[in-house]
Amino acid sequence: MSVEKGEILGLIGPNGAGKTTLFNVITGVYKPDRGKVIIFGRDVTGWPPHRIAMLGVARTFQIPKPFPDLTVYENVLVSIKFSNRKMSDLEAAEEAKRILEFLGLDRHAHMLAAQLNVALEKRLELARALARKPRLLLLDEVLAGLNPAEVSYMLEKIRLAKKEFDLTIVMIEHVMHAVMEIADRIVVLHLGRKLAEGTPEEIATNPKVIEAYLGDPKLALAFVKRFRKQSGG
Amino acid sequence: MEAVQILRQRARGRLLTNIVVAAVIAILLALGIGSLYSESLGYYRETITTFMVLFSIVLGLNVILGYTGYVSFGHAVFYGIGGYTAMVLMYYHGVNIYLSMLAAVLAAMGAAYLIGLIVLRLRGAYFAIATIAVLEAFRVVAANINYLGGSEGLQLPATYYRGYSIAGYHGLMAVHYIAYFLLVGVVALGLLINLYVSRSKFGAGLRAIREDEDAAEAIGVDTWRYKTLAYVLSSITPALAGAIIAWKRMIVLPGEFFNLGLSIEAIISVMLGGAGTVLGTITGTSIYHAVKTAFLTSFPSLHLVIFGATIAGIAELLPMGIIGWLRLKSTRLRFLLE
Amino acid sequence: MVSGSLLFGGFVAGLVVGSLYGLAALGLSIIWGILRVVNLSHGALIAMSMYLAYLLTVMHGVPLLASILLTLFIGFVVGIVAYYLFVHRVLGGPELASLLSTFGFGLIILGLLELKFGGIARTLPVESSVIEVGHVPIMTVQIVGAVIAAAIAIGAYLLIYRTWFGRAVRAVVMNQEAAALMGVNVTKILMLTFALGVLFATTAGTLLALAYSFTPETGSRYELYSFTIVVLGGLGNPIGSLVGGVILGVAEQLTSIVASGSWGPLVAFLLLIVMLVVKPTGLFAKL
Repeated sequence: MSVEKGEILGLIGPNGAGKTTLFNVITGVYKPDRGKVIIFGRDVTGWPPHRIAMLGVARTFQIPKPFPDLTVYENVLVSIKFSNRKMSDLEAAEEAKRILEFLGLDRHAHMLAAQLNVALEKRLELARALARKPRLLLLDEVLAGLNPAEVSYMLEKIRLAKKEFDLTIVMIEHVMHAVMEIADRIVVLHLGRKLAEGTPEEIATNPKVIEAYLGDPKLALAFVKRFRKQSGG
Repeated sequence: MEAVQILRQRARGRLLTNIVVAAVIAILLALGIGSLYSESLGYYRETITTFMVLFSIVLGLNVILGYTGYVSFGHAVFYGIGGYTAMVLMYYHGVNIYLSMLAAVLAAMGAAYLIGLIVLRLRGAYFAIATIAVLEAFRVVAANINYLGGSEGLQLPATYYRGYSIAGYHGLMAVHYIAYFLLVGVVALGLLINLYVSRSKFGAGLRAIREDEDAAEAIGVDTWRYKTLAYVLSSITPALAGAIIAWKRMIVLPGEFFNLGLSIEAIISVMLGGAGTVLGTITGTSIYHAVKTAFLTSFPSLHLVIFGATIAGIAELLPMGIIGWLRLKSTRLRFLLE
Repeated sequence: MVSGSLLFGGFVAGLVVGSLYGLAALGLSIIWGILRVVNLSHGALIAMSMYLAYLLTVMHGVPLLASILLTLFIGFVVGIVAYYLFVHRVLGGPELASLLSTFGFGLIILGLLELKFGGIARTLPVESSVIEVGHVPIMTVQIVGAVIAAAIAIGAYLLIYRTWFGRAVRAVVMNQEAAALMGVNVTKILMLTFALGVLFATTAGTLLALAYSFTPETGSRYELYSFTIVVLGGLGNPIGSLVGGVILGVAEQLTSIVASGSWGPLVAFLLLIVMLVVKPTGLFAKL
């Protein structure tokens, strides 16, 4: 599969389909048995994760992995330090504050990351990823466990970040309405293979997808209707 | 807090640490110089020498344990490597202490790199146990190889010390004073290394590794290179201390130089003060040394029991150490105490 | 060149001694695999049991069998108390805390042993005949011990994999929260498991004391051997422990036949490091 520059690609599929594994392969945590990973035109197959990160790839983790005994501010600051930009201490500190403000974490700046609740943890994951000024952002279920208000908030922030940083985004998600809403294209994985690919509309009406994942054809139609309503017809 | 304020607070904290570090070195120097001219300070010179030996190991250990989070239980192995390397050169080739120290530190750094190739792949308790195994392996080898003196070790004759002198003292008498000042130098080096780690991007990367190694990789930290560098750095001051003590005591013995107890004392000192802080190393080592010396004189037979109870107590009740505990109290303290 | 019969004798001796080592490691394996705690007091506990047996038999004239049983009982009780004092608080926290906590406990034991008994080597008053296999002497007491060790290892395996207690234990290992929700008293299970681990160490200690002399330091030798065996055999795996023990025992005995000097610990450490690098989960990882 491929991702076009500047698009938001949704990656969906039932549990165990291999979505996070795919992320791990892309970011170099796993080495693929066959095939290649090409990012920004370079063959990065077999590169260690930090080298791939240095190319301009940032990811969040499905179960957030904050630096627990560092404060929220320190979490973001470390990320900035390793984003390969020449910055003075002051510039780095200011950049950290900017990112914290952007995600509403400024109030909690000097709290230990271990003390955050789920919603704030997810925001910190996103903040840490954005702090790297990446070109490619990989979000792994960044909306999981959030209430509807939080979901809207995050989607808004993701849209804003994409525009401001000129990002290309791949999102693994289970929150169906969110990914259908925000993604330009969707890829469906099932049992480790690509099952289908296309616009949200096409995916929602694809019988194979419905069978494997959505399960209920009526639900699929409801999504399509809602989608059509949102895009005005 | 605004960015400018954050940096100002941090600068204040660093200034405080700089002052404390300078004060510590100054006090150590003053004591040494004083003891050169006053017999009555001789006892203090000896006990501070012991303190500085432990401190040297602690300063090395803090880099790999405190900042990087890798529990090197067998860290005394570098003390032993330093001691034995120096002794071999002094015993078989009459090399002076200064060159021997250089050789000792190079040997230890090389060993750290090679050992690291194997053990740094392991995490958590596995790493800890592997380092114990390495320490024991070195001890067994030293005890069984005749070139290294076997279980009786290697001993330098008094004639070896003829060339040394300082401030009117000669030969063996001079050695105790020279060793003292050399150790002050080692401690200063160790503190500088810790300050560097604390303030650099390298140190930030180490902390990230400690907190979550996978996430650290994901933000671009070359974890393997950083860990290896940390481990090599952590071997420097223990090795130098080992060389100096081998020279001062005139003998190396496998059980004494590859001694798990020494490692444990260093770990306790690091933990007691606060792992991953510079002030913590000073605090922890000072308190530990003071209490240990007091206990040894008051309760010699019970010392293992009390020792054990103290270790368990700290581990269960105050694992973040004194400075660590203070840093949790308020944001100001967090910036102030480095 | 070393004769074939000597090697064979060494091999058999290794089997016998190795079974005892395996039993010694069993306690460590259980505690490590189930509580995820590396019990650094393991060696001290083995030494403690040796001295307890000695105290009862030699210093108080209690008949040998009764002493052994009493020692086992005391060992189990010590395990329960130690759990609350040294283990409960550090569970689930940073590893360093549990390492140091158990280490401190071990030091307390060693300190008390040193205080009461001093450093001279002691032995239990046991008469044992010696048989020779390929010119290598093996005490019958060791053989009896080895058989008992194997039986205990098999019993431990059955306990963990065939009884309701074992099932509760495995549930706790897999998911503490879920197990608690299903009505399992997690603390009690963890405590009993720890005490069981201590009991195994105590048993091993008494059996070993029947064959060898001991000082307070003897425990640390078995502790390092135990680490190697646990890594060889896999965490929490009783049969793995037995097999690992045999592997180490054979390696140790054969080495001592081929090379002079006390290289046993070096062999153990080499095995340990090789395993840690190649397959840290052990040859037969189960839990």
